[in-house]
Amino acid sequence: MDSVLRGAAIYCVVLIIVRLTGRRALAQMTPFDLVLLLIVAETTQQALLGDDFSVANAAILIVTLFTIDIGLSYIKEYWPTLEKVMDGRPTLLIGNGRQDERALARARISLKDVMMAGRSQHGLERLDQIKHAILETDGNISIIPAKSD
Amino acid sequence: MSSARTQGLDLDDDRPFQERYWRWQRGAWAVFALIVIAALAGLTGSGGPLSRASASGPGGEVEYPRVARWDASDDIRITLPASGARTAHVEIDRAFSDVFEVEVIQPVPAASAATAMGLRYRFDLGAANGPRRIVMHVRPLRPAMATPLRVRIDEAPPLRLTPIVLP
Repeated sequence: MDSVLRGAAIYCVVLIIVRLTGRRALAQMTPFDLVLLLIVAETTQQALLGDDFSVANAAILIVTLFTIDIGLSYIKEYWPTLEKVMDGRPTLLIGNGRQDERALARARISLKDVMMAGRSQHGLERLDQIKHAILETDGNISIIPAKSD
Repeated sequence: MSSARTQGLDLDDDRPFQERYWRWQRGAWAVFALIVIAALAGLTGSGGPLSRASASGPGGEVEYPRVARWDASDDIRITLPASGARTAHVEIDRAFSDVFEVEVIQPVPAASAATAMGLRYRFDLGAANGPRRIVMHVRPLRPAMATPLRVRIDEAPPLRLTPIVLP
């Protein structure tokens, strides 16, 4: 019983903390984020397993985590509000070439980040070549370039 | 506030929801900071200026973790006042044994007995003209929210300990 409760508790805690920290922490992989991910993984591992290193415990935990994941995906399908709360909605950062300063600031995204996405996705050179920029729910920035004349 | 749809984008955004989320997010960051400060102060156990509490009476003083953590070792220190007594008795109640597993006691008790209250330890004391100390290394067996535990030193009225055990 302990393994299932531990698994569920850690799943919820990590989910809530990651969701409230913001999407960017997930998608960006700067060296600092890599360190953060490694430390979080190591810390949760200890809380998950406790002092029980048996194969049974590991198997129960893995099954628990996958079951929660599958269960949540079904619940989200029938209960869109939960999906909105858990996964969020995409945010328009630049619309028709107009920057939404408030959205950029609140989502902690600089124009440098937007330009980086523009360069890597479309080889854009300047900000005015971007028509729309959208912060997706997975933390990535999608760029729709302006039509070249 | 411009909606994505009005800009010809088939995007399922929800700006009012997003604004609410950002407000919640900022609130959560403040809570994160408070948790870190509380942890540094010792309110989440495992060291810190506020991590220990004590209860004292005529029999002596018991210093214990104000906040302990489930399955993490901690210690309870009993200080006996200076006296000529060559033995001391420490009695713990059943609630104590339910919350804490006693791993090691130093000095090792000369005898222990089950009593109506719970468990009674007898310690042999050497001749000394200062206070004597008994250290119990304990491990919380389950989470507890300030469950009152009683410890009695010799014939003095029992002392009440109210440790919180975090899951």
